[in-house]
Amino acid sequence: MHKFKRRGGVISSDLNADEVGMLESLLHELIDLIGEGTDQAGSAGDADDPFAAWAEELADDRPVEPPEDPVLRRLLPDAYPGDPKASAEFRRYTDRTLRRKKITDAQVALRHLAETDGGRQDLRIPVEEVDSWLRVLTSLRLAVAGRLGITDNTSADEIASIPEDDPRSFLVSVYDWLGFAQETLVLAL
Amino acid sequence: MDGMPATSDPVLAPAGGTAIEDRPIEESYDQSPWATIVWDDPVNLMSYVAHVFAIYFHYSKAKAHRLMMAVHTQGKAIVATGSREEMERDVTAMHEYGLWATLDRADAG
Repeated sequence: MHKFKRRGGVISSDLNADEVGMLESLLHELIDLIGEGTDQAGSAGDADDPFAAWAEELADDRPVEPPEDPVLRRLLPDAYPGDPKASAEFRRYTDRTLRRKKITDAQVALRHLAETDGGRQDLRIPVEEVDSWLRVLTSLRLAVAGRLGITDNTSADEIASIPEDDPRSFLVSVYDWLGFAQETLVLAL
Repeated sequence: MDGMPATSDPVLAPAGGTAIEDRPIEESYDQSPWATIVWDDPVNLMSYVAHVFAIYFHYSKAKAHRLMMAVHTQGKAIVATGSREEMERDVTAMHEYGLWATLDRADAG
C-alpha cells in the first residue's frame, strides 16, 4: 500500500489483494477474540433494539474477572490496578460496551475492505468513519504485538532486530505494516 | 511508545464517547479530585497517542504533544483531573482507543 491520502471527505489508499486478505483475516480473528465469553460475537440483533441491550446489561449482576488471555487483558485493561474490587466493579459496567464498540469498529473496517473488491478498488474511508479505523488498527497492533511477545521496550527492540530467517519475521512485517498504515492515517487527517 | 516521529496533525472534531449508565447515587458522593493516568506502552505510536489526546480532550496540538512526551519519557502522565465518574468515562474512552489508562486520586503518589 501507499500512504493514506485525504481528498475532501475521503481518506484512501491502494491495498493489494494480499493486504486486503491479511487485514480481513486479522479482523475476523480479533472479532472472535473479543467476542469470546459474550453472546455478542457476530450478533447484529442488538443493533435494532438498543434499549433491550441496555436493559440486559443493567440486569447482569455477575462480577467480571479480568480476561485470562494476555492480548484481551491488554485490550480491556484494569482501571484500578491496585484495587481488584474497584476494577471488577468498573468491568461490570464497561466490559460489554467496550467489547461491542471494538467489534463494531472491526465491522466498519471489514465493510470498507469488502468495498475494495479484493483490492481491485482503492480502500476509501469517509472521514467520519476514520476513528473506527484508528481504533481497530491499534487493536490489531496490540494483538500482533502480544503474539510476538512485545511487552516492554526491551522486547520491542529485540523483535525489531530479528534476522530475516527467523520464523517470526512474517508476523513482524505485519506488525510494521500495521504501524505504517496507522501512522499515515493519522498524518492524512 | 513506538518511535515514529510526532506529527503536526490538525485538531479534529470531537469523537463520540461510549455511554455508561451512571452508578447508584450513594457511590457518587465522592467529589474529591481524581486523575486519569495514561501509561507508556511499547506498541502505540507517538503520533497516534498525541492525536487521541487532541481529539478526545480537545487539547491544543502543543498540549497534546507535551502530554504524549511526558508519557513517553516518564512512563506515565496525568492527562485529566475531575470527579471519579468523569475520570472513569475518560479511562473508558482511552481504552476504546487502545491506550493503557488507569485512574487514581489526584493527590495519590
